[in-house]
Amino acid sequence: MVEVSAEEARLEQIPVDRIDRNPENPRIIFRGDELNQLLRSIRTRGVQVPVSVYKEGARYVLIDGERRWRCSLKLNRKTIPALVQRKPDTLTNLLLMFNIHALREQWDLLTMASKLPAIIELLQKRKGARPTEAEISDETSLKRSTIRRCKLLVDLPQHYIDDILVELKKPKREQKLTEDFFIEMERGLKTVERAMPNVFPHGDKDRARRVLIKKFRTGVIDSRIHFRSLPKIARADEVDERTRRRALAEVFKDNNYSLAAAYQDSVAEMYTEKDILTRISSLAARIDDLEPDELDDALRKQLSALARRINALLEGSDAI
Amino acid sequence: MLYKILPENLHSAADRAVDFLRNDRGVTNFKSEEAIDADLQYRPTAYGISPEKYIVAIEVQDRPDMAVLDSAVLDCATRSLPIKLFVVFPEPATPWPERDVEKIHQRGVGAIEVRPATSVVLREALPLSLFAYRLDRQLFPKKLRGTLLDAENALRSNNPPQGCTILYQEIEDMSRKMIEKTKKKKLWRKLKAGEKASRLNLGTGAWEKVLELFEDFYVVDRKKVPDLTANLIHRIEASTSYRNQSAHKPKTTQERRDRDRETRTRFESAADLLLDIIKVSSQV
Repeated sequence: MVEVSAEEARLEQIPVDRIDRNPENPRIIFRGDELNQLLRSIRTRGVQVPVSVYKEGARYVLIDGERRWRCSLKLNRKTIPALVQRKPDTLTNLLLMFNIHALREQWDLLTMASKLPAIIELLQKRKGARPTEAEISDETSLKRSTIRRCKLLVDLPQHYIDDILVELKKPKREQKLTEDFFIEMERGLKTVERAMPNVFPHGDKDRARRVLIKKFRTGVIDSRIHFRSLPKIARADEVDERTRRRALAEVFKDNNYSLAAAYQDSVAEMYTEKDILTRISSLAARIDDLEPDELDDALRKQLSALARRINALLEGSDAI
Repeated sequence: MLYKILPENLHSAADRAVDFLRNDRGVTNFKSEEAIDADLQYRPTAYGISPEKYIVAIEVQDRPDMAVLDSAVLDCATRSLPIKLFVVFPEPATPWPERDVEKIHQRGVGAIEVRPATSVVLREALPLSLFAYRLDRQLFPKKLRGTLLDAENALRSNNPPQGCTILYQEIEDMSRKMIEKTKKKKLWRKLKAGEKASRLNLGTGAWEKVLELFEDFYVVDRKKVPDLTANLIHRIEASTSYRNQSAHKPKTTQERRDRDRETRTRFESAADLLLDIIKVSSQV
């Protein structure tokens, strides 16, 4: 874990105009509506929490508090309370910001993802070995699941990252191709790639990606949650592989075939049966715990009705 | 231009709005995100100086709203800062509701929409130095409210002194009628021995002469017309000196600020005077 030497820091009122943003700050997106809320608060109550800076010649560089600094500039404030710290090295500078920001604010994932390769490289230099996910988590205070999500984003071809950046600059409610969209899609595609290699059209994963994005844009896929069907189809070994391949191949074609339809046509029945089996075993376990004298009238009635339905089903009759 | 505060996705909209104001309005000396006034708690996205010596400022946002600007506008108005402020926003896929844009304009702020080919002024900005004047039209008789609205519109237009001129014209008309009424009601003194009656037409004669005559002949009677005092007559006389003043073009924003502050004060006191004359007329 990075050590923040608060003991060496001193609290000062420093001129807002003598502060520069930190070039290493992973945060690249500042949405106007989010800044406005803080602006109102600072206008009424001032800057209640000092920003953190280090001195660089006659100027200061921000470690923490870019939004407070921006709002103070906007409000034409002369000074801002700041904790002036010793200048950190590159890795400490990056880790400081992750530790300070990632724990407190909801950063965009891409913000963190973009700096993660640099952190991994610097940690590797320091330790002499590639850091594990657990070590990265310790150093950055990010959850391991967040690190994995970041990796999915950072592994995307650059033009998709550019698309996400364009999207992130919009107010949240107007974003469509979000980070979460790409994460859900990439998770699905990754599982498909492992479980059913060669299912992508012409072996081209990116082509499949483009088709899925188009289908999402046009509403053929109406929720990013439907991408969760991809691993379910790819991993359903109980179902004939040809059926599953056919369904996935159709999904990756430029047509109106949705993920919901592919799921329905290939593995839905199997998963329904699986679900019933799980419920039956759970119900059976509960029934085993019952004693005949514990059954009240209502329960007895429901169990009898269930027994009749099960018998009718097993005897192949509709009459219940 | 360089922006530290403005979110990156709005940089190009800001640059294009600046270009538009430079080329279309002759605004020069643009600065980005700098203080207009040391005591003003607001830095616009950019500002420059217009040929009329107004500070033309833009606030670039995703959408037309006043979240950042409400208190800034109030500050500018109370300090009589000669600022014309525009909210600038990129053209959305579907146009913003008209009421959103109108809401901005009601606070004196203009609206510029940046479109792919050009920028369009959806609402003109009003000089904030003149915007917060004090005038309640409801205090005036209904038949005068239209004229007052004209005066307000003129004050907030490109020729603010015209707003005062409209009020001075109304002061003159109302005063002439009131003076004629006082004469008819025999509230004037009698002629002194050897003194000749004036042949000046009270309705059409030179306004200064009419006022001089009135001051000479009217006998202040606090019982009959309690509010027609010497002080009121002097205030009417004083207003004539402002009426025909034509001011030179301001050379600096400070001169513009002083001019607008003076214009606003004159406008307010002319409206007060008009209201007092209406009151007195009903007593005569």
